[in-house]
Amino acid sequence: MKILNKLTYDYLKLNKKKCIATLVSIILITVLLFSVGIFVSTIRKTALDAVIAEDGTKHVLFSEQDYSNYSILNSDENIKSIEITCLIDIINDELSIESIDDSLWDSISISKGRIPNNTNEIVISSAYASTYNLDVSFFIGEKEVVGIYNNSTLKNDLYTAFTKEVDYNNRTVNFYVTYKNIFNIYDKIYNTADNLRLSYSIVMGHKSYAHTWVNSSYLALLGQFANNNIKLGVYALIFFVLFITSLFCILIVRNSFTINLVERKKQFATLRSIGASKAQIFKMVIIEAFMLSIIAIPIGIILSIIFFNLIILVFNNILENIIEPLSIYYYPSLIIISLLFIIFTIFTSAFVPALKASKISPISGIKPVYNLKKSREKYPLINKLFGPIGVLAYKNTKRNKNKFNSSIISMSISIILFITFSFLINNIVIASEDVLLEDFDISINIPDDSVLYNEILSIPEIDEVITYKSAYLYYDNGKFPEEDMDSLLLVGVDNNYYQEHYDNGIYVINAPDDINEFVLYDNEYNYVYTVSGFRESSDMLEFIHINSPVMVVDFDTYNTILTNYSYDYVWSREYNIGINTDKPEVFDRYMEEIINDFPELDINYINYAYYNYEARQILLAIKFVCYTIIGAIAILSISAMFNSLNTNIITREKEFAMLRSMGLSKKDLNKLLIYEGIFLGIKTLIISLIISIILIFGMGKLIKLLNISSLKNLIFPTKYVIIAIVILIALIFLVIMYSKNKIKNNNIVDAIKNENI
Amino acid sequence: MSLLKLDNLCKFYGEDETLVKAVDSVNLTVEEGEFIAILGASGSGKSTLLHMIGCVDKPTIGHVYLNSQDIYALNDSKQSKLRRESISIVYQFYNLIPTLNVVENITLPLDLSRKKVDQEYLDELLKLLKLEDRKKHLPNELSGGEQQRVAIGRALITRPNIILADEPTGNLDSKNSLEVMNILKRANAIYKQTIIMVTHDEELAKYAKRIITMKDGNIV
Ligand SMILES: Nc1ncnc2c1ncn2[C@@H]1O[C@H](COP(=O)(O)OP(=O)(O)OP(=O)(O)O)[C@@H](O)[C@H]1O
Ligand SMILES: [Mg+2]
Repeated sequence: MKILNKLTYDYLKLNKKKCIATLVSIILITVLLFSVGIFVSTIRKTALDAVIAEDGTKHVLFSEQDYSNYSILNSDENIKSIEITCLIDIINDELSIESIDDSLWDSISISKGRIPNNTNEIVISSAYASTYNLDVSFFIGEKEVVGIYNNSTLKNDLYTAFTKEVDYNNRTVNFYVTYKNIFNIYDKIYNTADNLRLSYSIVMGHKSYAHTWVNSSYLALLGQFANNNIKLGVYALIFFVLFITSLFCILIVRNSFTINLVERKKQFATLRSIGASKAQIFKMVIIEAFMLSIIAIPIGIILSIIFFNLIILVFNNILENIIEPLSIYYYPSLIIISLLFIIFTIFTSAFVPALKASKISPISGIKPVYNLKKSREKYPLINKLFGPIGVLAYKNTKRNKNKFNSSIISMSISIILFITFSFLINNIVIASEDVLLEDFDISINIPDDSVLYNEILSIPEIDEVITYKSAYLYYDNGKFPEEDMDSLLLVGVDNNYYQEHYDNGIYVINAPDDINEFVLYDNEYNYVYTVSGFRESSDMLEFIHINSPVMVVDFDTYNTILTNYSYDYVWSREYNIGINTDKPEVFDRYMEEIINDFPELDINYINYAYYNYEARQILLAIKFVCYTIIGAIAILSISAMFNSLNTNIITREKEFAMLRSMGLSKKDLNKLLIYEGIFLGIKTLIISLIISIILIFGMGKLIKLLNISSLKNLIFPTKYVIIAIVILIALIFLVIMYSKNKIKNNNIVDAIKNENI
Repeated sequence: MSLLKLDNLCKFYGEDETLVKAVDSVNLTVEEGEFIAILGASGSGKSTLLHMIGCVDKPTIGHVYLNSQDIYALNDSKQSKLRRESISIVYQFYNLIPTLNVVENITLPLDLSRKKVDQEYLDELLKLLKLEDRKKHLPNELSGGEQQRVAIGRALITRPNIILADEPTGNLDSKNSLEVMNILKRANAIYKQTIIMVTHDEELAKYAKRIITMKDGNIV
């Protein structure tokens, strides 16, 4: 076996450049997979910390139970611990005094004072303390406040004070239960609840028992779900993501292995012809994968740690003062899983090429058995377009099918991945922009009053303003007078804005199906106006949360409809003003004055400027993460493409030398390479664009099916398709320029001599 | 019982108009210890026949029996063992491993079967093949003739039952050719190794005890 190791080692040493391609792809997939591992690990830790801070680690709470039930729980062999709280008193009709087990003080964080020593001493919540200006050593009724807590993971409200444990006999208590083992914990919980004779109903596909609170967020993060569908969904999602990533990784690594092995076909065949067994050849390739992994995996791990730290650094910087800074966490189990996954990916990638190498027939080493299709076709079109060199190039791509196909496959996968991910991420970014950002920095809602309205519009700091007026009216639903009429929100929008956004029609959202004209009445049931010929519009999402029909018209129409009706006859007549300003603080001061000037009017003033600032920062962070992912995929894709193209050319050194020795000029050789690149690029583009478009439409359909409202208007990633095409073309030419220098004049003889050894 | 028996052996390439009958219905029996020379014009199918006997090229039709065992009916590991231990081929194009030096190339079959190298025998072979000063050279640092001699060394090192040599002197001058012939003759005489040799040279063919002539894939 030693000699075979030596052969592999020699090969790796002598062909460093060709192996670097494989090495780089292993490093890249290690970075990708390991980063995913760290990412999941960090997210899980962050989520778990948040959930524990909120809900603690007790698995379930059975509330308002007879203390006599303690024996039932105590005899349940699945249960590890039972902790008890008990309402013993209510003071001033609002402050509940709960006596709790000594062990439960861990769940309460005392910010001031101490833990009570007897039931006459209590700790109160900081919220309660500040509401009533209470402090340590104050008395509430008979009870002395000895401490203040600011947080508790027990299921109590802020009007709860805690005190020392009492004798629970004959009392109604709450049991906090923790199980020994969380595996299938919901079955155990249901079992306990049945033993306690609690009743249940089915809520959202799972049992929900009375007097039972389950710490479901905590259990979910430990992988336990009440609803089997959710469990299935979560696991399916994880599996799907893993499947796609591993498929991508396996294809990339496999590709570089395959290309590397193609040129050693002769060596394997020679070994076979002098008696090496299939198993020995197979082992040789696997050992090669092993040798490469030993170098590549540690480099990949180090790079991904650096990479991830940088991402977190930038992320925390963007969201400084907005969220608690994230810190990276390495779960040993998750890290080991990702490592195993990386190793699995590499060896799976090596497996098929190794199998193929072991199946090489001995005779193919003795005389070259080319898998050439003898075609007598003349390709007149290509001859016309590109000349005889073009025909040679085209024949090359047709005859060297294996080599070229693997390049096409790896490039297509890269492009497909890049385009589809950009599509998804781009739409996620746009959707979150829609959801997170308020349209205006300042939103003012005032009654219909032109003096006040003009006063507000005269504030000098306004950069941009949009007003819409609104009023509620009745419309005839055909049931009047037996029943009441239904109401409708009439919205008048700035004429200019209206022309930009609605092309001069009347638009209605939420219209009842059977109504094709609205006959409008005021709140005294006097006829106002008839609107017919309106259209449905999906461009009115900002009103979607309003239950009644919403009709959008321009100011002129609005005024026409309401001219003769004073404020009193049409209820809830309002102006909604959206304003953008650079100086929200200055604006606040102006508004304060105005509000003081009009004390009798109901002015609703909200300054979203700071909220919008935060939202923009969050968006920036989302974009940063998303575009980092796109960037990482782009890098991975580009290097995979570069890899396969470059190796394709390098491994054909001998072929080129032959051509050169037969009189092909350097210029012709360049032409040959460029033409090959063109044919390769065209084929790749056709395949990858077709598949990408199919995938994108598939995903679009799926999103429609899932009814994710914020992802309603999907945008086709034209920009990224163009980027992909440009990158592909640039890359092909770059590789040709880069590798043509490798094929030097003086190599001709060497290369040919080597061929016959 | 004969050592080798070729039964209606055929090898065809291509199909229809491009069909080439490289070897066509060859029947031949070879006894243990024979020294056979195969003569024939270029393209008459000599190499193809040799490859089929050497268990590296599967026949289109027919069988090769070694000690009454159809060698192409064996599984891969048995075939590999056969190639490692029983039959050696000296190829017309030498098929050396470019990254291994002269000694490593010669001892490769032993290494593959994890056998110890008989140092004495190796030295003797190197001396006979005049490769003593080239031990550490890589194949591309050798002349054509030297490469050919390395290939011969690799075939002899395992002391196989059968040595198949495809123009083993194709690149050698007449003096060296004679010495290679003497090596083969000695192997045949002393170690009772069966030798089948392809050659163009009728003089060299006289070293053999039996001469077979091929024409258009047939023995004549
Ligand atoms: N892969 C192949 N495809 C088609 N024909 C082939 C192939 N290999 C060999 N041949 C043909 O088979 C015939 C026999 O070839 P072979 O190599 O056995 O000849 P040879 O007698 O060894 O010739 P030489 O003395 O030149 O070495 C030749 O006509 C050759 O063209
Ligand atoms: Mg021949």
